[in-house]
Amino acid sequence: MRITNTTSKDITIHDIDRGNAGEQKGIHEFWNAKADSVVPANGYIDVLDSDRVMLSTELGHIKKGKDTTLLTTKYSITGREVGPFILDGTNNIFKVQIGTSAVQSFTLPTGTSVTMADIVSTITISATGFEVEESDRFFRTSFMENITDYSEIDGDLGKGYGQRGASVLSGFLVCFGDDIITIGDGNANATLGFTEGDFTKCK
Amino acid sequence: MAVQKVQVTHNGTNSVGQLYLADVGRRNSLGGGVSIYEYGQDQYLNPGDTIELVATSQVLLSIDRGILYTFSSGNYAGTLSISFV
Repeated sequence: MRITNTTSKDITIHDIDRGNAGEQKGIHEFWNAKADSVVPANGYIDVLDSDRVMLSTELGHIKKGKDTTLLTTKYSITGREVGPFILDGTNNIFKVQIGTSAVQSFTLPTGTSVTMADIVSTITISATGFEVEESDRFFRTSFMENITDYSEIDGDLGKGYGQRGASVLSGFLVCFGDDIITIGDGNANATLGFTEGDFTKCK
Repeated sequence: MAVQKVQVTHNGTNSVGQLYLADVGRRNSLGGGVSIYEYGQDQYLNPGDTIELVATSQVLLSIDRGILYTFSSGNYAGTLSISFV
């Protein structure tokens, strides 16, 4: 979900995550802890549609912020991969459905170094009922590190899986709008980090 | 629809009276301040009641294998009617 702050002061949403390091929580809540619970003045954040976000939207602080017009919201869904991408005829179709309207199909540019900006430009030309952009505020804390290598790794005390790489702060594809967004069966899903059938659960 | 929800209707069949949906209820009832989990989701249904629940993972699990399943599709099928709204 995209949460926009309409005021000139930062707003902290306390019930979508407390962000305490070491606190036991599910991976989805943890990701939101990595994201942010502060909506910057006149800015916005994109957060995962976790249980907490859904409940807050219906019953909690996000609802209160909306009721008092301090916050506005949109549906949003964010991919999990950053460019530049290698795209060819086998992975350059991206499909989404907005609400119950017809599925929209986008043919992405091909090449060995297709940037997210290229993809955003292509989709923007014909997108109807939603917008896309390169993410700026999804993963943005200083300690966020993504797993870059899932293979077995020997350590001093035994074997482990997964190796952390450099932090990824932005660069994901974000789709956002005022109606439910459902990811279609385009063959670019894996490349962009989307899953067919995933849909936005709250705004 | 701003938030995905599930509508649950108690049809009052099978002589089942008030139902407590314990598996869609409280998660953090011990100590500390009241968190988002403590309000809104623990529900009693009386025969004839219709309620709407936020479609959290707890609610979806209950529909699949919990109390909501038992009284809609399981041993007491028909007691509850469930639909996404």
